[in-house]
Amino acid sequence: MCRRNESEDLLSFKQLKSEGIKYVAAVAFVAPALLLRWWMNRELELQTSFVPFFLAVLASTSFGGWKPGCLTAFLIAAIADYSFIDWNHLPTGADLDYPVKLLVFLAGSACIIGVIEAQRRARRAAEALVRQLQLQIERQQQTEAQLTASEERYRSLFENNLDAVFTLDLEGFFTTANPSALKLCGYSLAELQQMRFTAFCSPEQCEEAKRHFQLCLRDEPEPFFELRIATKEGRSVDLFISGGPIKLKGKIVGVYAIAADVTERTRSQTLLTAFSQLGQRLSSVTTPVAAGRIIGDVAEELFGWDSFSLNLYSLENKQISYVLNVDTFNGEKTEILPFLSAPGIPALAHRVFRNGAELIAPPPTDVDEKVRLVDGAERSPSRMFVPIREKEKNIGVLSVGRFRTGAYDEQDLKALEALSEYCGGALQRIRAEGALRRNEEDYRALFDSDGSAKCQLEPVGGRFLRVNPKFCELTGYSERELLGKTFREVTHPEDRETSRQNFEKLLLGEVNDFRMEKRYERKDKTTCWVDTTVTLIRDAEGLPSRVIASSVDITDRKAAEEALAISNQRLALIASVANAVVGDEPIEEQMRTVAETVRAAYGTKACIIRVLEGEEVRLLSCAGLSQEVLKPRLPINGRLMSKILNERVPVFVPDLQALSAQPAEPYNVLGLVSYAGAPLLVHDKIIGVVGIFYGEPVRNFSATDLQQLQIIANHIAVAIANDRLFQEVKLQKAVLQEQVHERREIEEEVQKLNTELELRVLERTRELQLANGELEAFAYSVSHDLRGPLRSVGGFTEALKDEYEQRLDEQGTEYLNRVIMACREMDKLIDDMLHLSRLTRMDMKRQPVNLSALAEGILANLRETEPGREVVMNVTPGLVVPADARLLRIALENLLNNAWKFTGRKKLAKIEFGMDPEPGGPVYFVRDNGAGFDMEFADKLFGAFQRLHSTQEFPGHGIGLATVQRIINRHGGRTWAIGEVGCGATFYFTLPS
Amino acid sequence: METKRFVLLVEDSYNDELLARRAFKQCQLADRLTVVHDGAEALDFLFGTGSHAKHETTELPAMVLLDLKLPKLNGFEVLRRVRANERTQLLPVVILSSSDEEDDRNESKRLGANAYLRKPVEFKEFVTAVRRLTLCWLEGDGTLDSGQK
Repeated sequence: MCRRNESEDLLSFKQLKSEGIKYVAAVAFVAPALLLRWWMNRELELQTSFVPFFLAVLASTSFGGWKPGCLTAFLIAAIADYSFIDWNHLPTGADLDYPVKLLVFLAGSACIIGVIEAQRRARRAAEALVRQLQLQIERQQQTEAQLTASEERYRSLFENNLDAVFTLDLEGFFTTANPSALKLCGYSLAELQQMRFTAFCSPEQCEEAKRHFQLCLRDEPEPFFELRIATKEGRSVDLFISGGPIKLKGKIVGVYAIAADVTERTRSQTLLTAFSQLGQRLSSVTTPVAAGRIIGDVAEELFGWDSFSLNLYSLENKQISYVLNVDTFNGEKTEILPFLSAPGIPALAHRVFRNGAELIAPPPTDVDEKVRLVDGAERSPSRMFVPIREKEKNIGVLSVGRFRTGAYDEQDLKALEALSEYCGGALQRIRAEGALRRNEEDYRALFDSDGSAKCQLEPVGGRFLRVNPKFCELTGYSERELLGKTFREVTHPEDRETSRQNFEKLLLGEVNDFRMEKRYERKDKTTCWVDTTVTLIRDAEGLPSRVIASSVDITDRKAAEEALAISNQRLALIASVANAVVGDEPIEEQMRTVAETVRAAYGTKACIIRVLEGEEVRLLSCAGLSQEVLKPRLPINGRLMSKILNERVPVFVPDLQALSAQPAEPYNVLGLVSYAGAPLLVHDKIIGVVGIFYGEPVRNFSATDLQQLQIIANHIAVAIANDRLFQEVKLQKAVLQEQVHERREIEEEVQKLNTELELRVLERTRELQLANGELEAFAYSVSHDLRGPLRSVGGFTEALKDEYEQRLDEQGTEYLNRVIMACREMDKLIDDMLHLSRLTRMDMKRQPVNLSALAEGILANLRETEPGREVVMNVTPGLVVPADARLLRIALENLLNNAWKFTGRKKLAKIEFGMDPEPGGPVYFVRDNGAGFDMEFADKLFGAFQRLHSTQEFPGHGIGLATVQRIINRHGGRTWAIGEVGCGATFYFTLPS
Repeated sequence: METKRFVLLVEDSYNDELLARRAFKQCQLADRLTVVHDGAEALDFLFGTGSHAKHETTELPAMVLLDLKLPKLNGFEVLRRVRANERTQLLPVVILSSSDEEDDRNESKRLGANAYLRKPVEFKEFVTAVRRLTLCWLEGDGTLDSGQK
């Protein structure tokens, strides 16, 4: 307050000061004017000049305005009145009185003051105006600069904004859009200006977008909202939009919006959200399919698929196989069972499994790319395949697909890879657990159900870890009892050492398993024999983890074996004999070996085998003696022989010398003392004798020894009999082979003859064909060549008749007419012949021909030719046969024409066409009740130009049936006829297909 | 009709030639028939070569009656050459044959014969045919009325 007063005071002081100066100046101007007047008065003697005074007034007024001017004028007037007085020297120079002079001065001054003042004021006004204008211009310039700056700021904000900026008119059409916006949506500005914002929104998002648009139009926009749009390429983009109305002079003319692309952010958020629960959910499932469903759900959230498939590499069949395959059928997601899926995993999946992720993203097209398959499913043009990885190893392939183009991009592929990466571990765990469980189940089943007794043992100490029911049964202990014991405890004391040694080898790694026959000591202290296989199982580090022993009860077998051993010992000799009696060698050689064996077995000096031949026994083989010293033949009535041969029992003779004085053999010379012999019996028939000779007296040859000798003898007998049989068979075989050989030669001969015959037939056929062809050609050419002369005969006869008829008598003319008639007849005959030959030359085309329809047609035509005749026609319908239609028509025409013709004299004619189903194939026939024929001529009927009736009776050339026969023959068929004079005829034909 | 138009008959059989002459005579056209006796001569006549070299070739017959069985060149060959020659390619040619074979008819048609006439054994038929043909090509405009045999 105080200060303000001060400044006001200062201002008034300044004004006062400037005002004061004006008046001081007004007073001051007087002095120079007076001085100048005085100077002029003195120097120039200009007494009258008022000029200095006027100058002073002028200066004062100019400087200070009219008030100081008046003051100056008044002061001058006052001062001049006193000091100069000499008013006569006033400017006019006239002698006016002083007052007048003064008045004049004052008036002059007033004029000057007025003019100057007016001038001053005008100038001041102009100055003010100029100043005002300048001010205005300045201000305008300032505004303009401001505007430009603002515009530039705005433009740069619009053009270079990384966010999409666009404006819409009140209808929602785009009016402007910045480069970011165009880049985002993929359209050009011109295209965009034809579109409304709703074109970008999916139906569900559209309402939301419209709502915000309406809010903007009402000038109450929400700060921001999120919206998902689809770009021109079909990519979906999440936008974070803020917008508001555009106002012009307070009126809303449009809407602006700024949109930020937050797709990535949204996606990573979605991905994070999805993943956050995925791990937990996957950890709770135990099957790959369940895991697949969870992954499918997450993938659905992330990518919105139409088809989904999860494939894992199966360790069992070493290939990728479906775990879960979901497709959309008629808008509904359906899991396809593995065996219903398309056969085989797509090659693409295999490729991805080997080479890594692939994206199939065909560029979006305007046409609807959906391809609807027959079963309602659709093809997915957009597909992503990624391998499922676990520790740098691919364990499967995951794929999603969409039924439209451009649904996925590289970002989606990365997301899917991330998902599959995330799931890899869990899937591997589930798969491994599954496999383990399966293995365990399999093992358990195997362990328990197998027929053998099984147990698992600790490798060291041999404590039972697990036993199966069979093992319990075998050892007599319960499972619980066994689990407290060691393997050693149940092993028979005598087998424990061997068992221990084997276990040691096993644990030291010398063997992987061993097998031994051992005894268990049962709970009731009895023993049971087992065949045990023991295997050592090592863990992943190669350390022994447990031992598995598998035992089979062989107690019974052991008992049997012991019994066998004894009998084996007893029969070893026999076996050796039996073994000796096998081979390809001649029977003498074989028997020598046998004799050697027997001699060695009994430890005798010699063994002799003789065979019965007639009334003698022949020496077959011997051992211990040279064959030369023995008689090759002995009579059967010797004492030694006769006893064996007659009584058919083995005999023992302790002293050969005592047997007879004249023995058959010189036993004493040979040094043979005791003898044992047995008959060689085959089916109770004696075929020889085997004898053993001791060089020393033997007394203790027991009955058992004799029995054994007999058994050996039996074997020998069988061997000899077999050999005989074999020899016989060999002989028979040789005979048979001889016969077979002869037979074969005969067959070959026959074959040769057959071949020759066939060749001859072929040759003959060819000759016949050739001859036939020649005949046809001949007939053809004759027919033509005959015409020439015939034409001449006919032509000139007619000329003769025309030109010379007058010179001939009636008889002559008659002859000429006959010649002419004969010519016509012959012409017709030639025609028929040509016709016939043509039938054989014509190409044949077999196709189904309806004979019934053909016959009906022909008969209808015939009826038209003679409507007056009464004819009963009977055609069996539906007779269709593969044949040449043209030829068959000609054949039927001829047959039916004949029937028609030859029934001409019957009152009630009957014509029938039908078929008899014969075993050799159908037989067709045309039957009539007409003139008939004599069966004596039946074989001539079908010959060309054969007639059985006179032309007067029935006209014709006798070519019809020949034609029929040719046609049927060409079809491979047969013709024949049956008839009786006056009672009609039946013509048969066959048409083999 | 200042220059009398004529018909060229190609026929090797003298008997047939005589009969043809007679038929033309009966049609009052005896002076309009020129006869050559084989295919080669027919071509010489038409092209003005060989024995007909001095012959004025500007005058072509109004029609050729051509037998198929001819010595030296057969009817088909003559027809083929006539059709191949620019000057004679439009010349009316009527095949006159004793053959009534389908093959012969088809071959004639293929080679461009204007009509096919089977030589009738009946002389009266022949006269009728000649009358119709001459009416058509000798005096008419080339349109054959129906049913030539």
